[in-house]
Amino acid sequence: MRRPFVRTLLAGIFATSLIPVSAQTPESARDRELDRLSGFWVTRFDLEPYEKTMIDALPSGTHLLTDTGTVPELALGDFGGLKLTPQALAQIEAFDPAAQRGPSEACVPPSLVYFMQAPFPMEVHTSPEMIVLKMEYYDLVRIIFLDGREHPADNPHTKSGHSVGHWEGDTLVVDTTRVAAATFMNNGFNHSDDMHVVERFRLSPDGTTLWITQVYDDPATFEGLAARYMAYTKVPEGGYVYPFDCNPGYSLN
Amino acid sequence: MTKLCLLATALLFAAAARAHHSAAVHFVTDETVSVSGAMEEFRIQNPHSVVFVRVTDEQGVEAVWVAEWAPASVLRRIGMQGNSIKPGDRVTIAGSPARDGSKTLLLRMMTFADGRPPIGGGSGVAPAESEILEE
Repeated sequence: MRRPFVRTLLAGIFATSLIPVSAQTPESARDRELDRLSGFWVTRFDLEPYEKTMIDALPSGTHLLTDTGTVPELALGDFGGLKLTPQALAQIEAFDPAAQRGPSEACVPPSLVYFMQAPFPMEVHTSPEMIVLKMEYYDLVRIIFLDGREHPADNPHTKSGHSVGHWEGDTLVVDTTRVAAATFMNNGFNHSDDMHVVERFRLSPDGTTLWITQVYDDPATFEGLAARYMAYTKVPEGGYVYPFDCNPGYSLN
Repeated sequence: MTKLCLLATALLFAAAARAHHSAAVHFVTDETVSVSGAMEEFRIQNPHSVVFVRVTDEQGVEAVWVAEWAPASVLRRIGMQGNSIKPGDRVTIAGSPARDGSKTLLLRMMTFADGRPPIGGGSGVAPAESEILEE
């Protein structure tokens, strides 16, 4: 009499093992991670040592850029070891550093390729359907859709792009396209509007640190894949972003 | 001091103001220049607050030095307001000199003649060995 039950049980276990890991993340676990993610976060600059599991999860052959944290930004002509395309090199040739500090560009915001590592806090608001990142830097907002939708073909390019996310265990994997062309390294090297970004967000076990990696794929401007590692610290008492209200007049000294 | 205030203070001494313009492109980040004088104007704003300091050199010639400082977002979180530094306040500003040779700094440290606590720059790595140019 036990045999039919055992067969059914074994069949159920086998069927479950065929379901992708992401779909197996229990709703309760996802809700827990969303709850832990929600809050007020400030950029962390003491990144060393990097969280090894985040680095190990990068695609094989990814070139890890090291211009985050307390490491200075890359100087003119330094592109972090990436091999640039002729298109990118031609655009760099036309770069005017003086204009970068002028009123026409002083308040031009970067894209998520650069603003996620900026020294400004963010509010993270979560629901099962979406995550909203309200950035203080340039008053930018990101929406990460969690409802399984595809990237639209006609979404306007924006500095935040269009982001969709799914869970792989306790890691939120976010895929972003439709990112408007903007600076890649703040030294004249811009990414194109075909930039594709895959991010991994994971919380430390105690929930006080948010580790993030960004993997960049932009064949129009450089060969292969590149990545950055960054982190945020949660402010336990909470907080709010301030209005950025960029004033280009600062450049008119 | 709340934890948020501590974090804002940490940003002043460790953070690099990224995007809008690059520190390394416009300033010699491995050098430090220091000048002292009287505050002319303090503008608390984003993306950079700015201070103007009137400096008198050894020959008695006056010149106004301009320093880019931390964003308003950072300064306000440590309690600074537009009137926190007043015209006439005696200060010493130290920072990375501009590559174009102008009297412009990327401010890394401001100290006050009246003894109030110094304030960092929120603009990158620790200052290199200081070269005092003018008093």
